Amino acid sequence: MNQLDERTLFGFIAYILQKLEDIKSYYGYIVVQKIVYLLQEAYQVKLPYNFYFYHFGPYDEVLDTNLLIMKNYGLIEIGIDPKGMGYDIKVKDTAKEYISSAIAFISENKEKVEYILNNFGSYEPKLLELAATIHFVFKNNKSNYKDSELRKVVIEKVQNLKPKFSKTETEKEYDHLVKINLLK
Amino acid sequence: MNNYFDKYHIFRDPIHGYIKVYDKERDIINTPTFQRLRRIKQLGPTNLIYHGADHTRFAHSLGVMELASRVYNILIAKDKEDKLLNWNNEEIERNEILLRLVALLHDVGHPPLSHVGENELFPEKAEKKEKNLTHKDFSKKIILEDKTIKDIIEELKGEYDIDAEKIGKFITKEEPDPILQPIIDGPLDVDRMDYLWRDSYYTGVHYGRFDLDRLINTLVMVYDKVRESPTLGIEQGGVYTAEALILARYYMFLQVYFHEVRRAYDLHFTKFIKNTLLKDNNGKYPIEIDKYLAYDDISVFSKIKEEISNNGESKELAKILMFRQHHECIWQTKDYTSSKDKEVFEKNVEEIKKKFGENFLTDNAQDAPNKFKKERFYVKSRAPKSNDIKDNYIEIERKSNIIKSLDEGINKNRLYAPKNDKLEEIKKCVAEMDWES
Repeated sequence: MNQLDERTLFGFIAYILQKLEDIKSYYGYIVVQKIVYLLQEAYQVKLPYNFYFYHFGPYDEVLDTNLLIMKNYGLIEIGIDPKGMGYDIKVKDTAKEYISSAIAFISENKEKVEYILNNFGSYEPKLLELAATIHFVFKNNKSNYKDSELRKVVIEKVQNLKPKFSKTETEKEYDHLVKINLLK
Repeated sequence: MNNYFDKYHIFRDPIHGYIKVYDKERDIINTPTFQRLRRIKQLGPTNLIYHGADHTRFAHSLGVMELASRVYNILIAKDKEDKLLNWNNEEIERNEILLRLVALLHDVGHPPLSHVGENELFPEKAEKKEKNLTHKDFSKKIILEDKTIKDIIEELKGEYDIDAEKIGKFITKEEPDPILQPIIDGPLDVDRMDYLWRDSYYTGVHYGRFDLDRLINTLVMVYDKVRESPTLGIEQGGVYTAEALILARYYMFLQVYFHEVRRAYDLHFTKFIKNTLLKDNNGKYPIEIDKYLAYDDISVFSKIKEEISNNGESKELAKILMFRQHHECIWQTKDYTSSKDKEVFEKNVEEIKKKFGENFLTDNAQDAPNKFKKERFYVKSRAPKSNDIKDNYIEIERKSNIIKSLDEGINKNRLYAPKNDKLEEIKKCVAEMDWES
């Protein structure tokens, strides 16, 4: 079992959020959920979450609760985004102390964070949702199908779960994830 | 094969009145695996606080199935006008069966005393060693591996394209049906509707009640432009009762599920089960379904009696559980602990342990009361903005200040001490300490 203490966990999440702020002018829950999902599931960062499939792809309620508690602790602010459609999460200065406490864990995983943010940080939430969904479906099916069948099966299942994405869009993102070695 | 809905039976339920159970469902209910749920208390050890709370996962599962159909039929009736789903009769029938079976079987994998020891006592996932299985994973395993249940479901494969794997993967949320999922798992889902009413009724804590009929009758399919899909929403006239459900859940968490004595018993029972029943299995439930299903509340209480009469190693813990001699809560933080208060709490707990020994228990209870945050949940406007039905929805947080204002996470920390001759001295010491940041 993962035994990451609360201070290290919150410090690490605050660090990711700070890095996201360098890339995006604003972001909300969906972006945080998907980035943390990819870090944990595709890059094996040892975080305590159990992601399942929800409306916008892989999701863990505990991560949302963690964000609310980080808000209670005064580490982040959660406002409404400028378009008024979603949320706008901002790290506060008070998070510095937590980030310092998590420095060993951050150093251990720094390259993985950079890799994920370099590849997905600039993604719009919708594309991030597609990438994380493809990974989620791949991971849950890889042991049940032959390698030669897997691409077709995953694309079909993603289409059932997310009919808003066209087959071409899904195939393109699937191939991108293969290219950057995320589907293994 | 006969039509699924040809023949039904009536079960009487104190919450929902008459519950319709169709033939196939009764076959599932009559399996030993499902009957085991009669021996799993819905609220675990809560009856040690609220003495009426003896209801079981069996009744809850039936209640969720009944509500799933009530909600579904309302949605289908309203969709005849809105035409967002546009399902034909076969699809309508098939989706109701899928929904009912998911509802009926969603909790079939609960361990003894429901949520007691969840996480700590579950075995690790085979593919991810550092993560533990959950009761939902066990529900799926049971549906796939318990032959009696699987065979009944598989009979539906030809006619309805429903099989054990579909139901299992819906429950674990690996591959849920994207349109039906919010009925079973969402801010206004039927699981929540049933447990709030049922737990409220049996505990006698009336905070859990809300206008159930009004809520069900104001649910409607809406169109989510972001997800580009129809989804569950609510009519404008139902917003107040949606608020009532959210507040009911909030109060039930604070008054019942996070009750200080209940949380103490969760810790005591977890330790007891780990050290006795599961001692020979490294303190974890077995992964094999036949062995797992052998555990129920009766096995826990039989072991408690056995430990006491045989002077077993866990006799003292068994006496705590048998004679209600739980540790006493000697300090608790506010419902929304600040980071500074948490630091002070942890520092003081260390000091107390150093001074009086290690036999203390600590607990941290967390929950996000506003479940609408995890998605966009829409209200159907009374006055349409345009002729396109897809333009007529607005996010619930713009319609309800109450829901909007619930934006903090419950985070409560507690310290418990054993009831022995040192207790008064410990309490005096705790009272003299500075707990405010």
